[in-house]
Amino acid sequence: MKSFHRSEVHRRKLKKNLAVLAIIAGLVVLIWTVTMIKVGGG
Amino acid sequence: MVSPLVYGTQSAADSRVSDYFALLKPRVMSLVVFTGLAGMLVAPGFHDLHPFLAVVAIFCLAVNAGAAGAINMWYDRDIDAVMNRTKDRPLPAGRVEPEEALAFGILLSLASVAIMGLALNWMAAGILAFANLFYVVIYTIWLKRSTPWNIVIGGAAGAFPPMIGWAAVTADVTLYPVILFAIIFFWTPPHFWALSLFANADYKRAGIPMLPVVKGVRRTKIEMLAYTLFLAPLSISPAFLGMADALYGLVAAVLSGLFILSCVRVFMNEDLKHAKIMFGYSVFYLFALFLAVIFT
Repeated sequence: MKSFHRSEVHRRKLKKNLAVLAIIAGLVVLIWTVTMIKVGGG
Repeated sequence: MVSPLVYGTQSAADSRVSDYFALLKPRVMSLVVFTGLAGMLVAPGFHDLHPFLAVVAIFCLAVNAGAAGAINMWYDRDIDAVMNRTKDRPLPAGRVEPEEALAFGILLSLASVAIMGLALNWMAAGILAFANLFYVVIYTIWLKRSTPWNIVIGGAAGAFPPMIGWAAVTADVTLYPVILFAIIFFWTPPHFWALSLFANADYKRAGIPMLPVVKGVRRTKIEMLAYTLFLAPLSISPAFLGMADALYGLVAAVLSGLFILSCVRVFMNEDLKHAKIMFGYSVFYLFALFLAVIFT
């Protein structure tokens, strides 16, 4: 059976998916940092 | 089976990060960042703002402007395809799917407004959202294809950044950011009409009712001169209202004088090279004027 992660679609979209994940991770870090600054009275 | 309708063409599937970056109209973004930064720097209380939050405010401003640009490219992909100036953009060139560009623009718009509200204040976030909607709905969808005055009213969208920058620091809007808004508002028509004079054929082919296409070149030049003459005292006014010093007034007067001179040369000559020179100078004018706002 051909697994999904080896599919043609996955191969073509891999870089795009990783970029989206990186953006989501960046947003989480950004909101966390902003929250810490706000909590600290900044 | 994977449907090509769902996953698009090969070229769209192979779109790169640079294509998505191009959707954000980086050159427009740089002007937005610069004028927004100027609004922040002259706002009272800027030095009390946490540096990271100041960076976040500029980041939100840049991303939001880019997101509006991406939605604009999604809506205008039909006319972009027939204009020489825009036919190589990612959407008409088929490097990005229209739906992905729209989703990209909407998500970045929502994220930038939400983060501006959470990190700075909801006044700045509200103006940011309004500027985005104004550019997309009022300018792109409504005015651009329906009236030769599209640039005059729609240009307000590009005038908001200094006001947003100011509001990010102070959470309010006073006369100074309104004057900075007005300077960009009155600068926009002569700037774009200079472009439309030498890109007239492009706009005509695309059926966009730019002023030179609808009212003719002479009427356009008269309007350009009128706006440029009105812009000059407006640009100098912060020096007389006690918001900037005499050095600013001198710099603004010289810059405005050269802008008027450049416009008069366009008015007196048929050669389109003068319109190109004026277009180039108009970009320099705004950068130099806001640089003077920051440093004086």
